[in-house]
Amino acid sequence: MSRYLLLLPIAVALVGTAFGQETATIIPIVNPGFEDDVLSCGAGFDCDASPLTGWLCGPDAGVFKPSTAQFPNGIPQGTNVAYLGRGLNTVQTGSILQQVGATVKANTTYTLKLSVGARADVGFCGVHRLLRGAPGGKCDPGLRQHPDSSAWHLPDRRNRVSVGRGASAVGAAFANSGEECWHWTG
Amino acid sequence: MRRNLRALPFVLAFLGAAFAQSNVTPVSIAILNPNFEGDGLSCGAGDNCYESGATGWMCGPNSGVAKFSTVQYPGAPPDGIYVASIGDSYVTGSILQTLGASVQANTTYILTLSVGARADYPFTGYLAALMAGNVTLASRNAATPVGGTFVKDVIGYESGAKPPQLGQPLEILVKSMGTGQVNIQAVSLTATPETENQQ
Repeated sequence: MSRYLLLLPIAVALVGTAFGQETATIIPIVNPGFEDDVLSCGAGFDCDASPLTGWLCGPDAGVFKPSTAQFPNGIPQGTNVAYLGRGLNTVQTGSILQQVGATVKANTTYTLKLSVGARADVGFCGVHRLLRGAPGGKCDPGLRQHPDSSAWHLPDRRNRVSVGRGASAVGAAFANSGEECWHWTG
Repeated sequence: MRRNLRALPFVLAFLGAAFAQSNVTPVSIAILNPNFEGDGLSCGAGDNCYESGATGWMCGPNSGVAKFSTVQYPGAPPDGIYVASIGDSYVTGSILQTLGASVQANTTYILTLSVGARADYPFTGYLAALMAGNVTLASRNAATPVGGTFVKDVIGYESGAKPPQLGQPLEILVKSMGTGQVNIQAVSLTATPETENQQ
């Protein structure tokens, strides 16, 4: 299956920290590492299924078990990732959405962490992440996110990340890994 | 539909503790499309009569509604039986529904569902869970239906005086395990407040 837009949030974590507290509280997320859905196929280009347990999936999004052809240095953890969107012959964006059990509290900093990956064999066109307090809720202005192909990228950020669809990295590149972090204060 | 209903000793003990000492009537908590008959399939009942997704349920991979015939369930009615079909040999699947009710203190919740194993497809296990706020409150995977039958499974949860998920919306999650398929029917959930003399 060919996809050019591949978002691979691994070990998605949402943490809320009240001011003055040293210990953050982890807000539970269903299937945060995308390992709940077990694929019996061999890792690689065609080993995927949709949608995802616990996530409301938009068009063309699901679980994918990549191989070193997609990520030469592997993925941050586990065997699965979430894929979003499709490319090559057909261009289709995708999305995943989960409503968590926590509600917005005053004077609390929320930190959403995820890893974003660009596979080596299909182009990457960007990703747009939102932490929403309510349907239609406001988010901070965006930042650009554009990992090299086959890389896991992620500097520490404040604000929502938004990347234009035109931003595309193609071809194999050396892989690195990291963690993206952005904060939202309610 | 002939079903093999085997209430487990755990269930009897749990229900007994909940109801024997009071006359409190369990309150049924509404579940959308609990029998998976909300999506009409025009195809003839059988192994190919399936659509991914099920109204009211957030479905994982290769999960949806199916209308099976007597080939899959010998006790099925002539026009077939609707079930949730979860997973297959390629990928595990799931169904998840967030309910309108939330966790209350000093309340006993009983989740009941019928777990089916097709006669013509492997059954390799499942996990059924009552959750709130994405946290599992109670779960079970004890039912072991033989091919072509359903077995009732019952999951109980006593919230206690100060449940950590107090006020969080209740959720029902059923997952398939392994490389087989599990079918689900007749999902129900009740809440029974404890009376003062039970506390």
